[in-house]
This record gives sequence, structure tokens and C-alpha cells, in this order.
Amino acid sequence: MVETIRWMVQREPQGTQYHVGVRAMSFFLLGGLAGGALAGVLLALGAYALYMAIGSHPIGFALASAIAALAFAGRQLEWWTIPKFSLKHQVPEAWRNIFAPSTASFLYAGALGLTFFTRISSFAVYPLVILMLGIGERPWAIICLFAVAGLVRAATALLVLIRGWAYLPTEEVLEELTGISSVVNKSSAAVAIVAALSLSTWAFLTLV
Amino acid sequence: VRSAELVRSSGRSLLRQLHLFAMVRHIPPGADAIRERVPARAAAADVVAGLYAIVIARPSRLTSATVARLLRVAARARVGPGVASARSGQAAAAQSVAAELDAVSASVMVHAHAREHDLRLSSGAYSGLSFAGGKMASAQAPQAQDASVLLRAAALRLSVITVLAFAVLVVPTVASLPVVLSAVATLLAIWAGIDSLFSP
Repeated sequence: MVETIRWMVQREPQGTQYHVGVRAMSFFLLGGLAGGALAGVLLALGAYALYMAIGSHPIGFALASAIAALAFAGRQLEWWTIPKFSLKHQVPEAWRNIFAPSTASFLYAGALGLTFFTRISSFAVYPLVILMLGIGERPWAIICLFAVAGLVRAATALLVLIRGWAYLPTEEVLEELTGISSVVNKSSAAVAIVAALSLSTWAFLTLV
Repeated sequence: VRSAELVRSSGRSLLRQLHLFAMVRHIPPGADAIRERVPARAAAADVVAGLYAIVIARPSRLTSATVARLLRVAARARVGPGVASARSGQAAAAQSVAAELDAVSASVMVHAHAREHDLRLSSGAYSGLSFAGGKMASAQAPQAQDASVLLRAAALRLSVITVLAFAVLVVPTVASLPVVLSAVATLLAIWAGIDSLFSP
């Protein structure tokens, strides 16, 4: 993604880089939002069908989500291995080339926002989906939360411009990304553990 | 380099050959220099460019503006930092291609019936456009610095808009779910998004 944004900015003539860059980034954010919302709609349909079939059981799904979060926290800490469920697709590179920057940005970020239809690095999405399946009576909440995920996914690209990565040598960008990567990996495990503890405590207190 | 990767990954050799055939066949007389520089292997991007031009922007409906856009599209299809750096030694040759392209495209703009030819040509003449742009870019380094600063400021403004959009999306969720559930769900949703920096 970083390389795609760098490319979109750098390949434009200097005089138009600002306008093209802002337009591409704006559409990138919109694409992430739209893709996330679309993923949310798909999940909300499933969750609503589940709700109609078995009724509302948020506590059960919260506990299942907590277990999944712990399982993936262990995976993040390399205690054990768990397969990642995603389709591992990505927008064909030709699409990014052939369409105008704004269209290409929208499509690319839209696919990112769809989460399961593209490569997923984060384990947080799995406990999130399980949790969402338990609130099928509130489909709008599901759609909004996935729109948030899509928007945040797209918004990380803003770092390319804020940190000036679009104009830095690749080696320097990779060095910075490596530094961020180790922090993100540790934080991922922490987030999963916090989520698991919070959900299990809430479920316990609600049951009691 | 990037083109070769695209070709390998696409696996659409039939389409590639069809496109190459069409590309070479449609180069008008008098443009031999460009014909010689048509790459031996076309990228998947070229295939898509050809299909886009044929299926969506039908030649009979092409306007001058559409032709100009397709020229830009085809140029864009091959203009990447990787390609530019790998072939920087060919800048002089590419500039001559650019000059030829200018002449040809100007001619095509006048003669409507040749618009499709221009379209085909654009795939082969990409490097001229990109390297001519690269030359201009290197002569305008201060502008690049300005663009970097301006883009950073714009990105910060977009960040503020993003945070506002985020708040608008989270509020209905928080309002409709128990506090703990909404807090955990929001945390997981944010974290599920953060990883994409490392996505391919």
C-alpha cells in the first residue's frame, strides 16, 4: 500500500502532485469507508439471519470472541499457530495503473476495507467478527463498526504523506516501517488480551 | 522490471499476444522509430488498457479529450519509480520517442479516423512520456519539496476529517450497545484497520 501511494504521487508531474495527491488520498479514504461499510452489510445480513434463527445471545458470542482473541494473542506471541482466514486477494496492479488516480485509489482502498476479501495481517478482525455475529439485532452497529475498520485501514495511508514517505528513499521507508512493525506486533497481542479479559469479565458479571 | 512482473503474474499470454498484435498492427506508417521501441513483451496493464479502450471507450465514440486521457492512462500504466530507475540510462532515447509521440499525437488529434492508432501507440511510447516527465522533475526539485510540505499539510487536514467521520460512525454504535461491548468492538475495529500499513 505504501508503495502504491508513493507511486501515485511520484509519477505525476511536479506541478500537479499536490492536487493529484490530495484527490487520490481523499478517494482512498472514501474507498476504505465504502469497502468497510460493504463488508459490514454482508456481515450484518449474516448476523441478522442468525438472530432470526436462534435469537439474541450476546453473552455467548462475547465469550467465543474472548476465546478467539486469546487464541490469536497466543498466535501473535508465537506460542502456537492458527491459520488466518482470508481470501488473500488484492486489487490487480493493472487496475491501479489503468484507472485515474482517484478511481484507482477508491478501488484499492475499497478492497482493503472489505477485509476478508484481501490479505489480512491483523488478528483483531476475527474476534471482532464473532462479536458482531452476536449483535444481529443491531445491524447498523455492525455496518458502522466495519466502516470504522475500513476507514482506519485506509487512513493509515495518510502516514505516507505525513511522514514524507512519498519522497524518501525506499530503504529509509522500510527502516521506519520495520520499527513500527515491532511496536504494532506487540500492541496487537496486548489489544487481544485486553479485549478477551474485558469481554469475559462483562459476560461473567452479566450472568451473575 | 515492473512490466515483466505484471506479465508473469497475469498469466494471460493469449491476451498479451492479441494486444501486441493489435499494438504493432495499428502503428501508422512513418512511425518506425516508435515501432522499434515497442517492448517485446506487453504488460498486463497494457492488456487492460486495450480492453478498456475497446470495450468502454469505443473508437467510434472517441473524442479528442478521451484520446488525450487514454494517452495519459497508457503513460501512467508504465510510469513507476521502479521502471524509471531501472531504465534511467535510456532517458535520451526516450526523449526522442516523446518528441515523436508529440508529433504523432498532434496529427492524430486532427485526423479523427486515426484516433485509434494513437491509442495503440500510446502503449509503446510510454517511456518517452515518463522519462520526459522525469527530466522535468529533476529540473524542478524545489517544487518537489513544496509538494511534500503541501501534501503533509493536506494529509493532516484529512486526518482531522477522518477523526470526525470516525466519531460520527462510533456514536450510534456506542448508543446502541452495552458500554463494554461497544468499547471492545471499537478497539478491535480500529486495530483490525491499523495493520494495513503492512498489507501488500
